[in-house]
Amino acid sequence: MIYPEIAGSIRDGSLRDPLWEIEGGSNRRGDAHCDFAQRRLRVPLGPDRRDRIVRAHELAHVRLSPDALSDSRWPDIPLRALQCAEELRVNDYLGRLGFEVELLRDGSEAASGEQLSHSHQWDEMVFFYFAVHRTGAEKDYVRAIRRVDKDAAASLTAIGAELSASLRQVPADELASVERDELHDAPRGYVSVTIPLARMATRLAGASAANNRDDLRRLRRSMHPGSRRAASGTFAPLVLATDLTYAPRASRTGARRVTRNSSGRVVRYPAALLVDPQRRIFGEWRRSRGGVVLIDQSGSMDLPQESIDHFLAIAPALTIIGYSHRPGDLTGVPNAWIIADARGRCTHIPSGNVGNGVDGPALAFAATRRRAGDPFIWVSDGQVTDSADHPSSPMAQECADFVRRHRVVVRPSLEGALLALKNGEKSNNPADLGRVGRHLWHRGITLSQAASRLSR
Amino acid sequence: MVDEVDRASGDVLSLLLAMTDSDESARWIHPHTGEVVRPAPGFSVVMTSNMEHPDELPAALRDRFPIAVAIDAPAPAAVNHLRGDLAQVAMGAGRSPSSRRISLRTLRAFDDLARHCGDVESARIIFGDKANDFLDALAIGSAEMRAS
Repeated sequence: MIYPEIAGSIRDGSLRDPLWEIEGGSNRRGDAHCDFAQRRLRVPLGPDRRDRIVRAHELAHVRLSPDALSDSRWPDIPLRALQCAEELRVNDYLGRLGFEVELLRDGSEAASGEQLSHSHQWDEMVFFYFAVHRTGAEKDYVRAIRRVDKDAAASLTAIGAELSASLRQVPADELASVERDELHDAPRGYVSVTIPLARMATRLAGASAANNRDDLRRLRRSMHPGSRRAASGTFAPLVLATDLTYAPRASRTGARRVTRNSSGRVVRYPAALLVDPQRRIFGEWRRSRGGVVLIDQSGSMDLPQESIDHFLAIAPALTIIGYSHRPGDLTGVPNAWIIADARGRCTHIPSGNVGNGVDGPALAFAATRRRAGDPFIWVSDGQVTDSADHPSSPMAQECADFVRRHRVVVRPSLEGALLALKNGEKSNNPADLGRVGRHLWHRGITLSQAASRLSR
Repeated sequence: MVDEVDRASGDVLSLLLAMTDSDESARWIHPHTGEVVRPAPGFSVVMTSNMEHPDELPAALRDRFPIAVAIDAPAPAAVNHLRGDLAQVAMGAGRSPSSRRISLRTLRAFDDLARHCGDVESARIIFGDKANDFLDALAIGSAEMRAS
């Protein structure tokens, strides 16, 4: 027997619709559940202790959880993080009430840990750890992960210690509060405990497992309120905004670029006399309608909306792409957008999402929009950051390699980009380009070139 | 006031049909004295029942009562005697489906007994093999109260 009507009798001062339909299930992980929409409770109805704690767990959801875990109130938190954080709150509270929460483990946790570590799914490793924390199953889970990935296991153990410490600071009445939070229209315990836990899980899932002591310390520190999130070491996946509207652009003159020609007035390529069968020694300025401008709209660029509008007004009819990633976001907030292309210019240019986070994928995407021979300008200060907005040397190196391979012209400002387009500039000054510039400098010149520069 | 009409016999129900049909038919003849008792002006009838749904009453009788009020929570005064956590769950327990409904009377009995022998023993005596489930629901249902 199970009494959901008693467990959920009075919440936020009013009676809830108590008519729950009970369905018999098993005590295997994932089989029991509580469906608020259908008012259906699937629980094991047997007499043993494991069945009892599974029933209590679902009853606690009836009592504590909101009818819908996720909606537009918390757009920055993925549903999986909310689910796992709510599991943690419920399990922690059951533990405080004296229930045998350690019986909730069913032995499947080790297999899950092994499988996740083999597939290197760090985000799911974190989420699942939250879901099983406080049940004792986390030990089996981490042990299984340690067999495959020692760094991930050490990181999860550190996360567990911080998690336990922060949960200890939450008073029981706050943890179990079903009083209505007027601002968010949800139970207060959910707002004040589950949401911060879910945010914490999201930040950790967006980072990567620490592989040295310093990283481990940073990972632990990133769990403290107001602290910086830990590095992820990877770019976020590119999410292109698809809901923008475009208005036709007035026809503009194109970019100018120099092409080789066999006739003309300015000898620009004298070597062509020897190496080019067509002897195209003259340079000829030509208008070009093609070309791609990739704009880093992160906070460090400090590009006001007006300056992009101005650039659009005077720039030639190029394909213009903007990008900026919200640090740590896992919910799929668009982090790249086409500001202008053959369709026209978008009527409302998205503002940046603070971080870089997708420099590499954005460069690769912009390259697919470039026609051979057309200019490719990257408006960037040379800062390259991972999905958590941490600067990363290997990732800056990756971008520098891309810049060199694809002959991308990098300019730190829109004005510089405009000049480069007008004058057909093709070279970069590494000194202006931050981390990317340093990598360009080190890789882009030979020893003899470096020696001659030094002697100058 | 006709209390617990669902427990009325067939004869009583027949009489009620006449009494509640119209002012003209509303009369009662004393079986021994033959005295005819007629209702005073403004006469009205209220019935109470413990049935799950008013439709379970005979259709003709139900038809004579155009207004039905479902009372699915105990009167606050009735639960005041219970200790805090039981008073809280009593408000919702009465609305449960009949298969798992716990009456106010049962909760009172549990409360009385628990004062002498504690919750666990009291639940074992009153709820038998459902004792653990009741205690779990009680603990979780009054979670906030226990925490504070």
